[in-house]
Amino acid sequence: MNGNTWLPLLVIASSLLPGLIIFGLAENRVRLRIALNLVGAIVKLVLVGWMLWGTSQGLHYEMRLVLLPGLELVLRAGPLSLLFVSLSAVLWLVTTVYAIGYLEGSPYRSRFFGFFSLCVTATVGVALAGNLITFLVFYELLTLATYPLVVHRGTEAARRAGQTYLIYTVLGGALLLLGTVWLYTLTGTLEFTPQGFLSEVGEEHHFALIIIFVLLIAGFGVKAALVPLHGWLPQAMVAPAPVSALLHAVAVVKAGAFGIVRVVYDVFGMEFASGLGVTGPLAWLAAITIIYGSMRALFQDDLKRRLAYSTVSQVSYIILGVAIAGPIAAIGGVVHLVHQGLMKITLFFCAGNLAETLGIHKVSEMNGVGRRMPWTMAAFTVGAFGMIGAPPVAGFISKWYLGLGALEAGQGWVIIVLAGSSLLNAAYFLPILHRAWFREPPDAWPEEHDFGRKETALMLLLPPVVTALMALAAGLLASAPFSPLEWAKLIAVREFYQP
Amino acid sequence: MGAEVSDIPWGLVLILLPLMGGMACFLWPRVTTMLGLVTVFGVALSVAGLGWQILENGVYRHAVGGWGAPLGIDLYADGLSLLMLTATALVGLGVSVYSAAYFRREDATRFWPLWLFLLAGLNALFLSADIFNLYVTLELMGLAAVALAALTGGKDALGGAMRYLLAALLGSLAYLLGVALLYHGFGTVDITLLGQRVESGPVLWAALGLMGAGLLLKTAVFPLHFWLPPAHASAPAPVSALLSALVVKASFYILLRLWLSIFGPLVGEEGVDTLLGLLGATAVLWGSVQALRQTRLKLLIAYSTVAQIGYLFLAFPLAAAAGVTAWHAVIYLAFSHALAKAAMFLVAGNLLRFGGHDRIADLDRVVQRLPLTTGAFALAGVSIMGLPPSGGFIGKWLLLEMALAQGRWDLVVVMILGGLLAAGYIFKVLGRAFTQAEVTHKSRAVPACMEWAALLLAIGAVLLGFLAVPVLSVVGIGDPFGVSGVRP
Amino acid sequence: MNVDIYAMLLLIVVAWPLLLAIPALHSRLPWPHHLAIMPAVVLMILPGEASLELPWLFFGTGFAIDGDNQWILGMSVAIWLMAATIAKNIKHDFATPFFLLTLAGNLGVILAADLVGFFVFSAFMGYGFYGLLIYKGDAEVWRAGRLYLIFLVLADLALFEALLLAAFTMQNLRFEEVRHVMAEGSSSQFYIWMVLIGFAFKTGIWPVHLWLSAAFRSVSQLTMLLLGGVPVTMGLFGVVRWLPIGEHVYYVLGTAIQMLGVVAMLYVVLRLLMPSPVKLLPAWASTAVSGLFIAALGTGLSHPVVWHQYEHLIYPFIAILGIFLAVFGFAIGRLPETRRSPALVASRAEAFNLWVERWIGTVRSWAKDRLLGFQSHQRASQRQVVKQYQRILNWQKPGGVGVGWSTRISLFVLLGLALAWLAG
Repeated sequence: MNGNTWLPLLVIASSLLPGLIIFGLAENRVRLRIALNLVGAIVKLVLVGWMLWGTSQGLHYEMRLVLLPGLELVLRAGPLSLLFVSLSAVLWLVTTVYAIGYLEGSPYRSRFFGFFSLCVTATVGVALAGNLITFLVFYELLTLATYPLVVHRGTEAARRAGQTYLIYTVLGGALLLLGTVWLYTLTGTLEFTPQGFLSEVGEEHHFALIIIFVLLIAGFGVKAALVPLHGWLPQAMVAPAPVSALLHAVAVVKAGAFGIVRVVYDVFGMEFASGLGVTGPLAWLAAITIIYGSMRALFQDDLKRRLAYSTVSQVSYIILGVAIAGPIAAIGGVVHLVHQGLMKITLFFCAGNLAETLGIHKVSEMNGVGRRMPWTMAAFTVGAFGMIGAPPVAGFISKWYLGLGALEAGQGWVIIVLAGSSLLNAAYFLPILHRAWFREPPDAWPEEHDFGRKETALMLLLPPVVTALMALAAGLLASAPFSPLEWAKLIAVREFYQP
Repeated sequence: MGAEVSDIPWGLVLILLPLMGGMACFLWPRVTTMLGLVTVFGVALSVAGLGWQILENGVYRHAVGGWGAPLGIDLYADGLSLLMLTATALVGLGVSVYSAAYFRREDATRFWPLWLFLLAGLNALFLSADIFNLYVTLELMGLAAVALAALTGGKDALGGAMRYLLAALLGSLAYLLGVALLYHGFGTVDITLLGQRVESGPVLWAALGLMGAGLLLKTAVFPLHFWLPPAHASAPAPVSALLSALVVKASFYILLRLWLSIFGPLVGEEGVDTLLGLLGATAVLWGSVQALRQTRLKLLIAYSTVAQIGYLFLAFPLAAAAGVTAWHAVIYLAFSHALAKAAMFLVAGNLLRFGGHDRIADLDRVVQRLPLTTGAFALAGVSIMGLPPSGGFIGKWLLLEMALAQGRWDLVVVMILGGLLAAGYIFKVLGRAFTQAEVTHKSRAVPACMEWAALLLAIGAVLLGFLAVPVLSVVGIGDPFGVSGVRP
Repeated sequence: MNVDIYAMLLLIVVAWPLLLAIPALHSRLPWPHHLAIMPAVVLMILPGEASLELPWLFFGTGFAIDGDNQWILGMSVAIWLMAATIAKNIKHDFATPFFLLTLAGNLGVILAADLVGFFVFSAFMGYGFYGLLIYKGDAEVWRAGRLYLIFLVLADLALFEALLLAAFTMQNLRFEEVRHVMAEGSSSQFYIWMVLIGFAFKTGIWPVHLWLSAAFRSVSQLTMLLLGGVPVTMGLFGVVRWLPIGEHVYYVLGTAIQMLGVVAMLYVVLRLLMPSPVKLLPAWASTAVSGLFIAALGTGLSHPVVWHQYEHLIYPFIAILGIFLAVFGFAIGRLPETRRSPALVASRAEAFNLWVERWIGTVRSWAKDRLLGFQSHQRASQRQVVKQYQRILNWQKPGGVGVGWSTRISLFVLLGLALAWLAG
């Protein structure tokens, strides 16, 4: 029809095509590969910016492809989609830069960057999906594209982690498929609709709908690492740092959380889901996950594992916000999608820097590291305070809206959960900060690499600093136009609670 | 120009061209590869021509020599036949390109004629409209297939081929008896006429039993699958690809035709469909579990075929209520399985050639050095697992949708479990692709066309996931599923 | 126009030290500590009132200066100028960013016109101050720092809850609004409690004064000066700003708080009868003064009329208090080291303090036991569960070996308080 039809497809193609070309590149074509990666990432960013602007002006971007009679592949850029797409596009660019620096000189880079691009393609597809089947398609693609990244190192531990990852996600995918097909037989449509499309379904099917809800949530919950489906996440830590960063901040974990947002708001609809009585248990599950993840994080000495459990906990903030069933809490949940991404990716970048520069993998080895790598640890500090929910970092904004939403929905217990989680977050992040800034550094680091006068390679240093600044800005400028918070409010008005 | 193209009896060309090509290969062994390739390309073009004809004019009918149905031989092609012919042509193309590099001088002179005869048999089978012709083509195809399976002449290959021969002969014999019974009872072999004349009775039941058993044996449905894994695993890779992708589907095609026109309407209600469904379900589970247990790649793929054939039979119990959708699912599964499984066997051939063995546990040294081949395996695996977007996914989606709509939870569970097990055995192989291991042995280079042939077939299986609407509308031409008015 | 520049100055006062906190900047400037305070000095000198709305900052916040916080600003500027002079001589340039962060937070807290701004800058101040507290690291200091941090986190949590309640009740969170609306609101009791608890932690009001005494025991001159001037006075300042005093009669609540203040002062008197290191004197002074303050506050809550009579004195009072505490702390800090008795200090390691500062470990090992217990069924035998609970109960008993004086007096006074409560 016009450009508006093709734009979503172009956004997907902007990472798919470079990815496919990169697969075919020889290992030593470093410059071309870097160029392809960066051009793809920048083009995507520009396109997404364009769509953001258009959507704020009320334009619609939609593309349809008939898959089966009555079953269409739909890519649609609504406000909610764009929130996630923007996050992916921005963090993809940053992570690409980081990965280029991180993997310099290591083998199988063509393979890595190929799957890396595929992974982002799948994430963007998940974000843009306009119905459940499209979502499913990209969700499965994400599973497949991430697996090679998880096992990239090729060690025995990596293989085992990959196996665990697959067992969890393939099982989740099967449940999801079952739920989706079942839903389709009941309703004949899978189109994401504001306030859901199930209100027409008769009383007699309500029990089936509850089971479908459970199936879908279980399917998405695997990736979102809801307890008891979180087992793969800490294991997947064997992956290289940029992969962990992407996995935790944008791609896999967020796709699951995003799926839950979609299911609750655009498939079932908030009111209908509350009527079925399924949001309450979901909120409890999220609360348990929040506390459990933090508890486990306390025990971890391995830095990346501690961060992984922290992810388990933090992602459930999103789910909690969704399940509280109120507009303000929904804003909190949705905005945390972005905020957690920014903060967590910062933390993982920093962990990667420590490992790459000084060979530090454990919290107990971090004494005085702040003096050796001040910029890295400054970024880490910002991320950690964000996780605790201390102002002015973005996490404060999320927590504020979640708490306010809980009060508004009359669910005061959530406040206690939030407080407990903050306390636990403080308990496992503040000691790290204390060590890093105030303890005396050891005589020698475990495995130090020389970067001259700089604390580490520029490609490694820039990404965490940039994301930390973004996390700060998202908190400080929460009320500025096009801030994540303002956009989340727009989503709540246009998609969740439109009149 | 258009008129000329549509005047050519493409159906006849489809049968005669490979026959002549096969003969030519015998006569000029020096250029056998070239002749074979040209013939296969010709066949592919002819299929395109036939397809164009059918799209233009609807159902294709050609009375060979000008005699009509009761006496002469009628060639008949509707949407279903066209689809099977297309699958044959596509797989044939892929395998031929592959084989051109795979077989050396000695083997090539034996391979090409046999393969072209097989192709002729397949084409003829899909174009036949009466049950006796079907028998003849089935026999032609079967013999060619057995000979192909024994091509390399090793001990394993001969043993596998002998079993295969036994099964094929037994199956054909049973089928022939059924044909005789039907002809005796109702006085015609034309499927359409039979469909009008048959009535329930002992003759019909006996015929059903014989023909059904024969065809099930040839289709290798559990528990009659015993011959398939050894035969498919021991044959050369391109042959395995043909056997798994096409030959098995051919006997299934006959079964489907018979069921649709003759048996289905009469005995469908009496539990036969349930029995077929049960066999299918068992095949899915048994085949998948066996595949998961294998330590050799080719055996794994062969057992996967057993499992995938099971899916085709899951549609029978659902068809009574779901009608045309069930058959759409079957067609889609069959088509995408043909492409995916051919790709998989070709991949196995590549690995075997590169590393000299197909032990899964030691594959890591091989897999990493053949990225295209590994990619082909992964893409084919996507379709086999039924993950979106792929042809396998569309078929499985339709089946699942029907099973859920009819409340057949047993089948739902089987399908989901089958998918999970499939993921298990696919990733058992793929998991090796990323581990690091040193090369400890000499390896043989794999020609690019062998890698690409496998990859393209696999891509085809995935792309099929986006073509459901046109493909299904083509299948509906000529109303092969007997539900007039219901068009997708 | 003129007014606009004056308003912008408000922003500069806060942003300038924040900007300077970046090491690359302040290491290139002479006298960075003093430079950072200059805008505040200018603001203090200029007469008049001003306010600045910042709709893009957080949920929309603002700064304001009026007759009330000018007092506090004056006090802070004086203290910080003193501190800057000391800090200039400190070789530890590592402390400078923390110094500037704390300064920015402090100024932000003073100038903030609404609850959110106050909360945000108090976080800056609180965490920055942690750096100042412990930058001269030895084990004793870390201990104090840990305690401080724990109380800080708890305080922030309580204040955050209060903040949420306020935001839930009303749209505009400016202080003058808060005072009116929260007094009316249905959840005002809870709000008041949260505010009191939060600021009690921050100020070190008895009975949660533990971190304060630990901190005073072991810190440098600079910190001795700032301890009284920054966390304590800002806590008092905050509680006045946040609480809806003088709007409503909270008789029971007010009386209880009054009593608490009196008891706190009593406690200090009793405590001073015990042998005590000189260095702790400022801590006791601070506890006593805050007790006095709390008592006044309780009076304000229970008798709004009295409050209105003396309301205009509260800010000068806080300012004078701050100066007094700072100077006192500074003076004590300058005493020669020999006047401290290290042995005495070591023996003061109070069991309860230890328990509180090891709460992470406590929670950790408890949770570990529980979780592992779930994981392996063998280990979760009944006896073990009982044992675990016994262990937890043991933690609750402050000090298995010898109960410190402080704890004994605390418990005794608490008992008295409870009896008085019952009697009243």
